[in-house]
Amino acid sequence: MAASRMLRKPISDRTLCTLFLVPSLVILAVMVAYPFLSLLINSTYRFSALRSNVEPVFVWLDNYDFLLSDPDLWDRFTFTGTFVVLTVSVQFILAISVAYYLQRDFRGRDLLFTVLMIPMMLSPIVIGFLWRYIFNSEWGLMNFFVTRLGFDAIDWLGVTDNALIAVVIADTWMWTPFVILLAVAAFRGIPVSIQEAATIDGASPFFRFTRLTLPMSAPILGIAFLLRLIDSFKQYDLFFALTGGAPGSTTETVSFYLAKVAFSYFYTGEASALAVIQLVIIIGLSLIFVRLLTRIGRQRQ
Amino acid sequence: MTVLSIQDLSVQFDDVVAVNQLSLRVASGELVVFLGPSGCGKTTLLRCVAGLQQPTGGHILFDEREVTGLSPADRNVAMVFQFVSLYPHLSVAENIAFPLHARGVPKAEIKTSLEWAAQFFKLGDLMRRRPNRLPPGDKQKVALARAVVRKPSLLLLDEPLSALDEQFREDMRWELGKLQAELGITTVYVTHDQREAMSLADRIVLMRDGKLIQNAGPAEMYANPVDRFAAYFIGSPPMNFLSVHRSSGRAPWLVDAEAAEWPGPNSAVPLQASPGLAARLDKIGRDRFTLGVRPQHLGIDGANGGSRIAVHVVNAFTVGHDHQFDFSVGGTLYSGMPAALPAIGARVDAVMTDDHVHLFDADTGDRFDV
Repeated sequence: MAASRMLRKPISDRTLCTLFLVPSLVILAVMVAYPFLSLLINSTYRFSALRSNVEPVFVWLDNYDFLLSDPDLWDRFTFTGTFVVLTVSVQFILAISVAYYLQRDFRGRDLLFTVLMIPMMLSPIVIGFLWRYIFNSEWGLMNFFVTRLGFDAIDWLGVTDNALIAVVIADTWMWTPFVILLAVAAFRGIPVSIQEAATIDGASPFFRFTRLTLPMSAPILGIAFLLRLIDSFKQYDLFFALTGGAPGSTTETVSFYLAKVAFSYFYTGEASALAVIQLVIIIGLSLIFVRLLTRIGRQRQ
Repeated sequence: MTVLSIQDLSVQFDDVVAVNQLSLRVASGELVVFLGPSGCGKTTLLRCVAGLQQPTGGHILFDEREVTGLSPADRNVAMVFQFVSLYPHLSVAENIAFPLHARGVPKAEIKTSLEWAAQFFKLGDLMRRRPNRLPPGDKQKVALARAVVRKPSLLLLDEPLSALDEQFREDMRWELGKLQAELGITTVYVTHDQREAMSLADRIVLMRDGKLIQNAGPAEMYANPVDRFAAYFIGSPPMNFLSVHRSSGRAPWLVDAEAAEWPGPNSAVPLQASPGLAARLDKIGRDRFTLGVRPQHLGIDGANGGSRIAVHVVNAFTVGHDHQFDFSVGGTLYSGMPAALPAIGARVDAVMTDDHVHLFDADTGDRFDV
């Protein structure tokens, strides 16, 4: 009976689609739309979340004005930019060189790739603390090797440039395998017959790699590049665990600074404005990302 | 132009022998087709010539110069693949210029070559486009242009037309033949399509299970197949194979279906051998053998006095210009091409043109030369 009643009045496809969409729309509204709107609103007030008894003051765009004219923030942007450029380029040069040799089938390939995944599965905080021990200037593993090689011990975390290099090393250790995996997948996605055609056309392995393999992998490598770009731009945990922003506050990224403004100083208005600025930058990067995705889709047709 | 010789070539993959001690020679400017069913080793053989596959034994020589160990680049061969293997991120012109760039040919020379290719293959409007959006026929044309633009010593074609529609295929086959003749380039062409082979080849190398079965011109291979396999593989519709058995009864020879158990359940039909065929059968002196005759040489009630069997017409139809009739012996269908279309169900004499009756060993399939 129940079945026949359901059959009598079938739900239209449109209604069904709407019904399926409702839960995720609700979740999106609660989890994304509301916080975003409240962030936007907060960024136009001067107030502190700690002092609920002080009435928030509407200040238009004063928070933005204050932030953007603050040389401290520009220092953080410069530092973050340096970090992003360094870490992403080191990772890509390393990953593409390694991927070049891992394209072929060989014994133990699966095992190697499983091992390569491990750094990605660890929490960045844990990795940060691990590397902090490794970089310890008195009894760390790094200086053990450095002094063994006959050099003077390096003050890894006490000097800004050294600390930056230390974080780049840790970040590279963590994320190069990811780029390797994507690069190998991209390289292996190129049809064998195309490689063979090029071999017959007289192309040397280097010529094939630079003129075929790399350009044909460009869409996937581009996506990996943007993912890494956005991710390292947001980098917070590694700096928190490894340098804590020290020496001074010279190794603070924008995210690090944001967390400090929001939860150490509790300048909620300014922090909200900074979050909006960061969001705009990340959305800009993501737009390029989406463009690339659609281009791949078109190429695969 | 280059003379290709292959000597005692073998390729073994683990426990499969893909090419088995094969020897052949392709003369300068000749178009030779490697023909055979899938898995016969023809593509492996071609890849050995290209240098993409190292043989496990034997030698390959270009103009009597050993190239067996050389890389594809050092052999200066060109190849067109079954699946379009154009470089998708490059324009048609860049694709064609790729082998020249790879060899470091000067820019001015590349430009001349591109102009030549655009004109020769009529690619004028396509040169700036990306290959992905071209129709399949044009893609293979570009692949062909890329192959020949650097004046290779050998042109190797691995089923280049099999991905194309029937209509395109006819056109391309014609263009390919014309191109090969004009350039006079020594060409090896791999296909499983006997019609393609027959229409293109100067010579056909028929292969099976890694072995060379027959190496002959198309006409010779059609007229004198060396064994049952060659007889079956060449020609369309395929040759009829009848099992013939000496009988102690009234008729000295009985015909039964090839596949049927002998003696069949009353399915055998007397073969009225003409004096000529009877003499050949006696000369062979066997009790059993296989009689092969192409449908084209099997008519009805012919006045030519050929050998005949009385059969019922189970099917009769006309394809374009040709009439065809089918009859059954022992449950197997055979076909003939009569001058006039018989009625379905009629009892007729199927008559063979004696000159075109082939006799094969019933066990080994080898042809008897009588």
